Amino acid sequence: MEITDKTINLLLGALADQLRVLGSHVEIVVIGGSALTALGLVRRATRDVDLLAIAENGELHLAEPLPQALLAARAAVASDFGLAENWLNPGPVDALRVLGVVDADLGD
Amino acid sequence: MRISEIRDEVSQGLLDFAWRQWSQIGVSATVEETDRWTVDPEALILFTIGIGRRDPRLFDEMLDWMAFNHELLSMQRLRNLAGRFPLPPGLVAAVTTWTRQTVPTNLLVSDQASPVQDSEPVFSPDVLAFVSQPDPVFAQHGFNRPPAARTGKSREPNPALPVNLSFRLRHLFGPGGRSETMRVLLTYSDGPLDAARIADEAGFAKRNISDVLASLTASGVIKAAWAGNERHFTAYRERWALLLGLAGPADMPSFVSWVHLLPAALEIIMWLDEKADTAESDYLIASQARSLINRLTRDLEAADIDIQHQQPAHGAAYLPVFAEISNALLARLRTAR
Repeated sequence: MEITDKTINLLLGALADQLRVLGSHVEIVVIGGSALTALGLVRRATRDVDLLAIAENGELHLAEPLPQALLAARAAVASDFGLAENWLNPGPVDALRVLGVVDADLGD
Repeated sequence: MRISEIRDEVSQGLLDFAWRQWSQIGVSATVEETDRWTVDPEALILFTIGIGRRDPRLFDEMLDWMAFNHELLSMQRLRNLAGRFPLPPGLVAAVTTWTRQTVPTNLLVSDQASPVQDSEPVFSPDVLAFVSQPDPVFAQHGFNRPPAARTGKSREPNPALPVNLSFRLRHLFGPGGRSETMRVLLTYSDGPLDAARIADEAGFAKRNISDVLASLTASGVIKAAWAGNERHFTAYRERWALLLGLAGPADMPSFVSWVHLLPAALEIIMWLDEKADTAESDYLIASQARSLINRLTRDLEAADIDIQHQQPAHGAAYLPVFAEISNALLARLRTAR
């Protein structure tokens, strides 16, 4: 399945369902093409969903490493929708780290 | 199709299959159809311990048959295979203990026992909601059911029926590795088999089956040939057909990988039971169905159920695929009549 403006909400909803089964609640901050797709601002397909940060207990921190529950939920959704294993990944975090951004900076 | 509908269909299909098998091997039941395969007695018992929890009469006729025909069974093999089935070990132990009791011809009911706290019901509350007096043997193993009594209706397996080839071989060799090895080799018609596959189907350790194969080869009743660095084995099916009074090898009962098919069937119906009344989303149910089938793929394929052939389906669209696989499983249990 391609990640498009028509499917991204379905995929993120499925991710939420899987997290709920695992007894976990994770809020994610998505950037890049997938974020624009989710907002309906672009219609082109995207290869993956870029995660920048994760909110837990009201605090933001960088999305790497991904929590175990999110990894398990991601794997289940990948299997269910024929997606690449890393369809949801913290790729942008590396770029931020190169710029010297750390968890504490996300709170600002 | 809703999960509860699939559950009802699979449940009925599996019960019909079980009754048909038992009726052909000596349980008193009004099923007249005959199958072209041969049964695997221990696999059928383990399957029935599971599926019979929704049909007390089937469960109790199985107990009666086991008590009557215990000399045709291998308790070692039953233990070996039990781990492949999704069954509570205590329930399997209760069944074997109960059938080991020496209850000759007077069909005694088990001695009564006091009600046991925190025991698990043997039967589904849908078919047996209240147990006033528990069976002591089952109670000792943590299970609650009314006192089990011999029904006294069981007979010996009729050797003229194809399904009973297993028992003919057990009469010949005794229940154990030899009779199971011969059952596999005589019924499998798609070419030679290696020791690992024979041991897997026979339900004994590869080491033991390798010894059996060596002695059967030395006796000249099967042949061995090297394929690479492995020996592959075949039975002289024509000679065996003559010995067994069959018209030819084509009359030999057909092979079914019961040790893979029946545990998978039980896994599927137990999962369906769990999900039939769930409030989870269609997507989540489909996702869990996909995980279940992924886990059972090897077993289903060993039993000639082609699940790779099914169309890829994403998300909740997997549910119809799961229904198709369930139907294919039921069809497998209906074929070879």
